[in-house]
Amino acid sequence: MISFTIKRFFGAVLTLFIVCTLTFFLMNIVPGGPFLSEKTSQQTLDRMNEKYGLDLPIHEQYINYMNRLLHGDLGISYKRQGFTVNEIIAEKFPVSAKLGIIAVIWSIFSGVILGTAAAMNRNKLLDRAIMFISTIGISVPGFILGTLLIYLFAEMLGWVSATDALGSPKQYILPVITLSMQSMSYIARLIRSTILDVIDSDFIKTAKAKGVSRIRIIYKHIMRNALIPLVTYVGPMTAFIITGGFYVERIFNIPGLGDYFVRSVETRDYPLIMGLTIFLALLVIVVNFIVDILYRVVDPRIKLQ
Amino acid sequence: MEKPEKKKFMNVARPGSLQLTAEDVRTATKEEKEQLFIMRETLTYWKDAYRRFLKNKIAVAALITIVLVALFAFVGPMLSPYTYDQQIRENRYSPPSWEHPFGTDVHGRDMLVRCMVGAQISLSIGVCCAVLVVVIGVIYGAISGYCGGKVDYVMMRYLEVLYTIPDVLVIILLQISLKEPLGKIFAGTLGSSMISIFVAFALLYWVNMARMVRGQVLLVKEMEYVSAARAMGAKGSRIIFRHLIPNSIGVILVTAMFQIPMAIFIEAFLSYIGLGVSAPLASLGSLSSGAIGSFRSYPHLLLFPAMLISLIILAFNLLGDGLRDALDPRLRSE
Repeated sequence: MISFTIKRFFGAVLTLFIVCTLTFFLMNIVPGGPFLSEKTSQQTLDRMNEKYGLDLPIHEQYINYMNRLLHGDLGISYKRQGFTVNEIIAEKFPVSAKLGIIAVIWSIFSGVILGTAAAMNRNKLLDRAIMFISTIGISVPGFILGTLLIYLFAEMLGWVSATDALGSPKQYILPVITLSMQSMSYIARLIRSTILDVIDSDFIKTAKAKGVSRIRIIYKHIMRNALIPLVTYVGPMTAFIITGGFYVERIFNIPGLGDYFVRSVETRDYPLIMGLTIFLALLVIVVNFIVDILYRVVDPRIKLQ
Repeated sequence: MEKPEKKKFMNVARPGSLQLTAEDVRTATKEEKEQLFIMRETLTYWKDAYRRFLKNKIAVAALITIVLVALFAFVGPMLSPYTYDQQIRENRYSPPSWEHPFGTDVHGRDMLVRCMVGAQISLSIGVCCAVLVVVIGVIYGAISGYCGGKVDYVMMRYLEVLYTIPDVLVIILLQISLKEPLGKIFAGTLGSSMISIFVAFALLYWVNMARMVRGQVLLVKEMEYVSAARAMGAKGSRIIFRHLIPNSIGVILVTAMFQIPMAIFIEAFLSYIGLGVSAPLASLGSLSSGAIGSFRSYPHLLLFPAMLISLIILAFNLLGDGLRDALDPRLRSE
């Protein structure tokens, strides 16, 4: 177990290293450098290049950059003068994290319940209805769903306000639904198919024959097995929710990191894009690492190998 | 014909009888031989899969939908009196009418033909990405599974690293940085954003495919006919391409089918954050994201491309489900 953890840890560090390197070199391919769009004299350009160390040969720039990253310094924003990427993250990330965590919890909670309900009513109307909704949930792009939800619930029915972003708990409902629709649908399908795999196995039949109650069979025997694949999905789901934040925050006017990332893409604020990419990648990699370890803990069968 | 059969029947009727007649040792007639052999038409894997697929009404409906959408996308523009970039000044923002069934947009361009071209681009992105994933993933997975041992170990560790790289972030990076260099190389042919989506798929998205193929290859590798081929001196490449890959076609097809909606989805997402195909070209994603701002005043601009893109993704997902049920009986949900 310990050697496995260490191995995975180095794997995660390696992945992070690759992402940082890739980010650095891709951003350096961009022709013209970051100041090209600004109408300044050659002299000012030279001074700026010198200030940010951009006049050095590329390998020295790379070493400098990696060195700064090692010390937790993600760089500075060119467009938002005087702000470091770290400050921007500290300011914007809590908003996104709160929304994201609620969305993760809601996806798992509702996905598991829907999936179980579908599997327990296999091929009945409820099952078909849940599968239909979850297929739609996978098929409609999030930004379209979000727009339609706002139109329906904020403008036509007036239940929530379209401008007051996250002002009250009620304001969380639409963004969370939009953000979690895809992962909820996926989890519901995943849980349904794993339950159907387990439900015909011998130990369930034995439990039924012993007279174990239906609730207890679901809770004690079926769920324990069905939840194992769910753990592996947490990694991809985190990535989904982070990228989902890019459009959800924009549609619902939420001043979070995702919205800021999209804006930095639009203004071509390269150091900010780099810093935010590395930060978000770190987030995904850490979650994947934890999930890998957790998976071993949850599934005792793997330990035997 | 009648007589011998009757006789036979009588023989069967008294099974304990030891009495042999000439009828019992007579050679079988042609019809009798055929009756003996053709109990039921033998079913190959593909025939069986085909039959199962046809029974699945949802999957067949999805396939028909895809064919219709493909016709709409590739044949439609030829039949339309307008082109996708033709601007009709006096007809800006007109709602759906007989002349323009999907209405017109801000520049007075016909939305029907724009949706057709958009669907064409979205479908092409989906299919090209799937092809890339198949080529790279299948070769990688087959080699890894076939070689086994240390080669397999190293190749799989590399996959694990790729798997944890956040793909959408890398696509955004690629998109930003490759836009100009690629735009110069492919000027006028394809959008540079399409190329960088392809690059990203070629770099990252074949991981799942490689894993599936490897698993299948590990399964097939131990079968007798592969051992027989090896015993007869077949080379590794021949075994991979003649035996291992053909026997993984089912898995490959199903996995590839799920790549198509994924690629279309990602392109739509990129369009929304402003990194999709560039004007005047339009994909369904860029059409619908471009219409979000004016959704309240002109809902038809969002509605048609949004419905079309959802329909395409839905149809491919359902077709993938159907193919999986048909091609891999083990994975059937019922």
